[in-house]
Amino acid sequence: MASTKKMSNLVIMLIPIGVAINFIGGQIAILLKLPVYLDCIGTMAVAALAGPIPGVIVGVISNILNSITAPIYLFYAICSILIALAAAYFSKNGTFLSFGKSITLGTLVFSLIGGVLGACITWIIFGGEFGTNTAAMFAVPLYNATGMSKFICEVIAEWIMDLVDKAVTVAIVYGVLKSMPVRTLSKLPLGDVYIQSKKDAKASAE
Amino acid sequence: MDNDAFVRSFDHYFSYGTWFKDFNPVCKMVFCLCLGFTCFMSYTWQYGLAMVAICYVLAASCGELGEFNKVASKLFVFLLLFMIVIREGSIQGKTVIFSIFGWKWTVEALLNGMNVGATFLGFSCWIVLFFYTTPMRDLTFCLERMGLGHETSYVVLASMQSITDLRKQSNVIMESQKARGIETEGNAFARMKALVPVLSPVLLGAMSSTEEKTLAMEARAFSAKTQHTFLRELPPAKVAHKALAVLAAIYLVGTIVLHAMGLNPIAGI
Repeated sequence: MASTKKMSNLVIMLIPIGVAINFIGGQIAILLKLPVYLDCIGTMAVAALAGPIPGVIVGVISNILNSITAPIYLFYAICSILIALAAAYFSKNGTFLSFGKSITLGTLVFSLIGGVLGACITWIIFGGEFGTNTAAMFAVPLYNATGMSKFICEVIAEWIMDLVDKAVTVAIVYGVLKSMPVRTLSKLPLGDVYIQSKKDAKASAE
Repeated sequence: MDNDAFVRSFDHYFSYGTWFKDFNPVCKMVFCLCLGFTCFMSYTWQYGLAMVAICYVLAASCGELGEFNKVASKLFVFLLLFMIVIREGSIQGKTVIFSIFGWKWTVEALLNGMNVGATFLGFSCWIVLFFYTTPMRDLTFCLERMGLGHETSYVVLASMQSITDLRKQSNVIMESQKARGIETEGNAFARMKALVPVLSPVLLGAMSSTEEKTLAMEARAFSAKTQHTFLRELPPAKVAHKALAVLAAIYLVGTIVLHAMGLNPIAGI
């Protein structure tokens, strides 16, 4: 955490907001009875605006706070870290400037991290068997119906569940980044990417 | 408590009055984590449930039994019972206990589910016990005393407060959007459409308020290079606390080493 000294105060203040957004996204999904988690919006948004380190901090703190009531989440912190790193990378390369690119490339990569890597972690910590996550409710019937290996069934179940979740999450993050005011973007490390895009859009409209 | 007594209460170290709550937070964290991880060295339901029982006793000793039980009982269902169901569905055993509509429940799958479920339950109970007997501000206080920056403490504590604040805000926004005619019931597509008008004001409002918070914190000398003082202080860690933490760490390392050598004393308990 020594790197927080190099972060501006605005970035430091953004981190708790990112953590809160991770929790609220999930709460709203539950209230609307949607089959998605929406627990990475804050991680992706903060990483896209402020860089990889703040995004990683948001992801790790979210995992730690989640582990207060569900300690098993501690083992999945690596997924949050990789999602933050990937979001920062995509942001720097302008992936989040295009809705098409965000949805296709972003959903694929984030769902691979969350779904496939998550399935691998589940496999390892549960001793080479199905875990107690929601995906198990699909993986076990899939295994019994198809006879495919348990690991493949676990990966397929978690990846498919994560595809939908990450597609919705990426769409929301795209909307948030597009709607951020210039005065806030100008003070954030990766804000220049989105300011330039707004300037280009305005110039082409004129 | 009158005003004078309240002011005088900050003159001395704060105490909760129970030994486990007064256990130094950093030492307690090491103690709970180490004992939690020993469950993975055993991987037996007897050891896991023994750890759960110890956690219940410790929670009762510091008056947190009610809150601890609320979470532990949910974990019992989610980790142990659900695990048994999953294993009965995925592992074919030989000794059938009973059959439900052709679904055979076997002793081998039951034992496997109990061993894995109780292991995770034992580990989880130690983590839950730590968080329910240690306010986060006490942990961050001790870490700051050990050299952690105040920005890190702020980030952790503000995260917890922000979740509460944003939750209230999101409930207000949800109700106001419902009053504007946004459909939050119905089929999945209708509910998915409601996501944007509910979530966007919450997210954009939260992000935009960051600037005001930054100015407010800077006006309160958040970035000042001087050493910060504390209104409420905890006593330094006692020798007994450090000894317990060290013993727990030695126990964990010992079980790992013995497990690697194939001589694990707690495996198969």
